[in-house]
Amino acid sequence: MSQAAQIGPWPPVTVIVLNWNGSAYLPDCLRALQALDYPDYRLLVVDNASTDGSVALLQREFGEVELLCNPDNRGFAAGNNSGLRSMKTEFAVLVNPDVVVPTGWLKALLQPMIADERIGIAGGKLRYPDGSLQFAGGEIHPPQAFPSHAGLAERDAGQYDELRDVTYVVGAGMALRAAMLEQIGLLDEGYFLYYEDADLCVRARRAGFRVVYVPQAAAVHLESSATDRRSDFYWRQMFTSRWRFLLKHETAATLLNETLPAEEAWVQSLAPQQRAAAAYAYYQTLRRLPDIWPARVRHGLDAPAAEQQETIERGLVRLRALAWQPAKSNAEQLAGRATVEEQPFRSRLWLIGGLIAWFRERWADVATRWYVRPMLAQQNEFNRQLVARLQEQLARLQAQEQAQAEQIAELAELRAQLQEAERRLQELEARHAGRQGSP
Amino acid sequence: MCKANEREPALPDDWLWQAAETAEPTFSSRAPVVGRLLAALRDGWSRIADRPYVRPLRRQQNELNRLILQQMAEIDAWLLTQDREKVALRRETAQLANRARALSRRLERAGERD
Repeated sequence: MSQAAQIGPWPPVTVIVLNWNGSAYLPDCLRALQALDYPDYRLLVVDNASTDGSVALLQREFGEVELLCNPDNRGFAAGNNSGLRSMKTEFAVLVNPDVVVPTGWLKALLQPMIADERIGIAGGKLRYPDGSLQFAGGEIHPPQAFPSHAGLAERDAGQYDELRDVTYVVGAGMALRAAMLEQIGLLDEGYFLYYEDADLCVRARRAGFRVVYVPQAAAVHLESSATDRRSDFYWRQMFTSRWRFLLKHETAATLLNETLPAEEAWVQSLAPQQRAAAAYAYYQTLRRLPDIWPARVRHGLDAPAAEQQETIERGLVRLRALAWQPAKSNAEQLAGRATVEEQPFRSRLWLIGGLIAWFRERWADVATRWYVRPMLAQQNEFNRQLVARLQEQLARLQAQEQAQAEQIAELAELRAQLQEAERRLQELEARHAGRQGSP
Repeated sequence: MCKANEREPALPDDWLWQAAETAEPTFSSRAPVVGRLLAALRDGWSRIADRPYVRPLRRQQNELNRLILQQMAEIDAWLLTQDREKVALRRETAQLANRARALSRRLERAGERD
């Protein structure tokens, strides 16, 4: 008898599939989930305002599946949380719509959690459709919080077939203990996409729960079906979420002494598309600092001292400026190379080299220069005009950047003022309610 | 050839990067029998007469072309980012305006109660 079969009774589970424009993948995913050999589970699809006919497809072909429709696309964390808030079971399992699971998957995933109540989160093995490994346990690498998946793109030869504790498991197929969620809270809705699973796992471990990789629960994942991994959107989301994760979970000392310097070197090495995404991420992070620091405190760490916060803020501003440094360096080089110049002839031949060079100069005067020089003059004029236009565009971009920075600062000030006014009004209203209630 | 009121379609980036590196033409001749000899003579003559003068100019222009394309890529990326940020700023401004209006209504209600 298998180990999984020895467990019983199997507790009821809520299986949540968060969908956004996944109509191409949903049927296979849901049919597989409906075929699970688990005795008692509720299957809930949460739709994040899909526009590809997903809801119509679900109503037409999977009418028996419970459906919760969100009015807008709230991202991974908020979307899944709307399902998690409705659960009344001991466990919840999140499954991406582009994941296809075998019949015994749910039992395999939950068996360790049932056997050990210290396990707060469990995640299974994920493979690509071609059978190669995609995920066999996740780590986050300081000081820049870059993630890595064990086994990525390797052939699965059983090298990752031991259950083990890991830093994080991916949200594409993860089991959560309800008691843990009650203690540490749900997914952080400050993330839109990426890192919300790692964030939850780190919080779980901080609260004393285990986060385990369960190789027996293996499924196929068509990774990032909703997001093209080469798109601007993907990079912007990935980098923005990474910084939220960093500021929430890294020590102030590491952020100041290691993360910021490493990030400065790293951002300058990126291609323009990724550097633009990084610049956007720094800007978004700066805007959201008033939300990120309190989230850090809510989720178990002290906020950095005020001076440290200011230094980190200045660091983000500097990173943003560095992201555009190559454009400024290019501008300097362009200014120096706009004019193509004739080069004097040289010959390295001993003794007669000088004579050869002299003859070449005379020959060029007679045969070539009279023909080439007018064309060269035209080309140089064109080059100078083009370079001047590019310099103008750069200057305008820099001016816009400055204006935008001022606008960001003004909005931050306005936000702070509103927050203070709301707080004081709340106190007034509370005092007023208190006066009305007293005899 | 394009008519005056037709716009040429934008060139793909790959083409631009390839075109940035100008290539020297190779001489050829379709003359029967002596064609290859003519082409060889032309090539030899060009080595002595033209290339030493033109090649350095070509190298400089190719370098400038590459720098220009790099700079255009940087400006493209920067413009795109600024566009995204403007959208985010507009959204935040609208949210703050909503909060201010809600605050104003609460203040009015509080004033009425007093």
